[in-house]
Amino acid sequence: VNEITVRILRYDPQSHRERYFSTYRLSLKGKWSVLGALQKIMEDSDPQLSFTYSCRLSRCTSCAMRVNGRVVLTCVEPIGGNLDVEPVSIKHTAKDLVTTVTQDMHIKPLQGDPDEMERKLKDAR
Amino acid sequence: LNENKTDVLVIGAGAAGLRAAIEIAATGLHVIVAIKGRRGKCGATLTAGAEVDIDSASATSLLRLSGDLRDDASLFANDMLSVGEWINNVNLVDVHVAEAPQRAKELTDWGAKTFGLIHSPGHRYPRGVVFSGIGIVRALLKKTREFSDIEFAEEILVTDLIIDQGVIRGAVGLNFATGEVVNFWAKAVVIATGGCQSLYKFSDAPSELTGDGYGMAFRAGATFVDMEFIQFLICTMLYEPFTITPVQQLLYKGAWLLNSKNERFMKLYDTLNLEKSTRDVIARAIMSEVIQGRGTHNGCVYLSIEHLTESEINAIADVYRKGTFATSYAYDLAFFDRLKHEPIEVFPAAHYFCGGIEISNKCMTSVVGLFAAGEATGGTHGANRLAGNALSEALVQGRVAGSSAARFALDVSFEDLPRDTVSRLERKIDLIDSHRTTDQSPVQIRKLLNELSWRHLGVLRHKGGLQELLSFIDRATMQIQNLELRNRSHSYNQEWIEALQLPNLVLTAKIVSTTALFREESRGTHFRTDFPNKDERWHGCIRVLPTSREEMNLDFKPALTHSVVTSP
Repeated sequence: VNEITVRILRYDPQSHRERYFSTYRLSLKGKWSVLGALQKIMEDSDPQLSFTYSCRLSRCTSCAMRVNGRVVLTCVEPIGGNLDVEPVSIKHTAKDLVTTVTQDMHIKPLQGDPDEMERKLKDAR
Repeated sequence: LNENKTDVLVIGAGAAGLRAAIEIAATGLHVIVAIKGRRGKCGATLTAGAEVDIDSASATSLLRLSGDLRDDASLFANDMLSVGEWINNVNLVDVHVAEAPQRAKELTDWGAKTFGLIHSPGHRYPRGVVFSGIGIVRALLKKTREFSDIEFAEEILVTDLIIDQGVIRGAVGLNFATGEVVNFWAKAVVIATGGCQSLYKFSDAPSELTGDGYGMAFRAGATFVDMEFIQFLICTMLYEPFTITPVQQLLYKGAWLLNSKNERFMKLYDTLNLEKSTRDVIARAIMSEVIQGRGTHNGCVYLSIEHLTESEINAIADVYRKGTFATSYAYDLAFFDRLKHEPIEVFPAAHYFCGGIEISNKCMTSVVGLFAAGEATGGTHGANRLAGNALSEALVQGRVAGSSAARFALDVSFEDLPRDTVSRLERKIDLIDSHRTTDQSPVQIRKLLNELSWRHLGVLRHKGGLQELLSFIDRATMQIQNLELRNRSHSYNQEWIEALQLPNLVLTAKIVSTTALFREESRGTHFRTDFPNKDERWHGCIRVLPTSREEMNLDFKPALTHSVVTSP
């Protein structure tokens, strides 16, 4: 069992409140992803928390966030210890960890990217 | 009030929805594509394998791949019927095999890359033109940019269709970025929302596949067919609680399946092929072990590669790492390091809904002005689907549905929206400002439904289990009338979205379990432990007809097709 602290940068433009951090304690058994931990927080303790995800397999890039300073796809980002979670772009935050439509287009999928597949195929030959 | 007027509304932006939108815009009509996520970032096409099946001769002549010229459209159709247990809708199969080659060809013309041709089980010739799911979506999106009359409505959950005197008038939904109720005023609607895999505890499909299309079509009076046939794939948890990935390739490469007593249980289920058996047999074997108490506490079994030598394991790792597998599932090295030292838990995960909304060969549903395409429809695959045929179906039916919807929209004019109906549907969305007294959480109900569906409506079914699930569904149907939200925010409120999706999950569960209970035999993906054999009296389709009553109105339609032996 892994005891960790998760600190999440929060923001709600409708509330006229400054950005703030929420902190949660989690005890996780087995191998967890950052996205899994966020889902657990949302379901068990904080239904107000907003984030987006879809494929859960590092393809759609909907779940990209900045974790401990690094932009990652949270569905396949393993939890090693305490987490600091922020939106990809603080300037373009729509709510909590969700950014506005156009700001995260440059984030690449880790699986099934046709350009990457082509490159690997060439290497294999 | 947020009102959008368009000739045709397309719901969903995977291969089927995007291909439909292109076809509609090409006729000069205006189209709005409403999606739950953002364009290019949602829908099941992204997670597909991703082969597009076409007959092997066309793969050779049209795409210059090294296929087999002995193949043709009728042999392809024959294989579809064979795996579909001869209850497929032959009209849909005919359109499918006739148009699939052109759909694959145009994808390459529009910039999608191909990665060869593969021969999957069930096909007599190599027919799987390997693309990337992401590549297909990108190529279709690029094509949509050529038309100024295609507009995307992103982060919209369409909740209901607006029907006036049996005719489609549009749809209502929630913009969950802003919390506003949105109206679409349309002459025709195309449903391209995929399946309802999120009904199950374990699924390898994107989380947004919650049967929204099934729910809204059913409430609008559409008929359904083959809903009891659902495919499952053997998967593992890459990360808790829901990063799930298929492990079929590991089984082909010599991995063992073990129960909690460390027994190689496939010996009991398929002495000859063991772990290399078909995925249906393996899925049923796993569930049998779990139900008989030989599973893990999570309700899984183990996959182990500990018996393999270091070099065998590295060979597997290499293949995966280089991503040369047609499926393009690339595991990282950490996954293999883990697998080398400890067995991983595996389980059957909901993969594909073979059945769906009943359509004609023009992709018309039984509701005037309502069309459907792709996984959301039923009939093409019958009782089971050939590997690689989901994307062909999405592309073929996307074009046909788009063409039919456009033709329909050209012939009719806008009628005023029925205000009473619209207000009633809008009130269903407003769960934030209305005052409710109960404290049922949508997440808790969904989790119970997920668990029970996985246990009783998964790869093994029996009368008692299905009845237990149905009585839960009846209770849940009452509970969802009075959901209490703990989150009252208007923007990106996941609990609100859950609450609006839940009626569709519950309704789909009811349709699937009612048809699964009705079919007292085993055929295709449908397996009844109390009726383990195929029974020729059930050679046909179960249709679900619209009804105003609480009970489902079922109709058995015998199939006309009979198995004809064709020489290979």
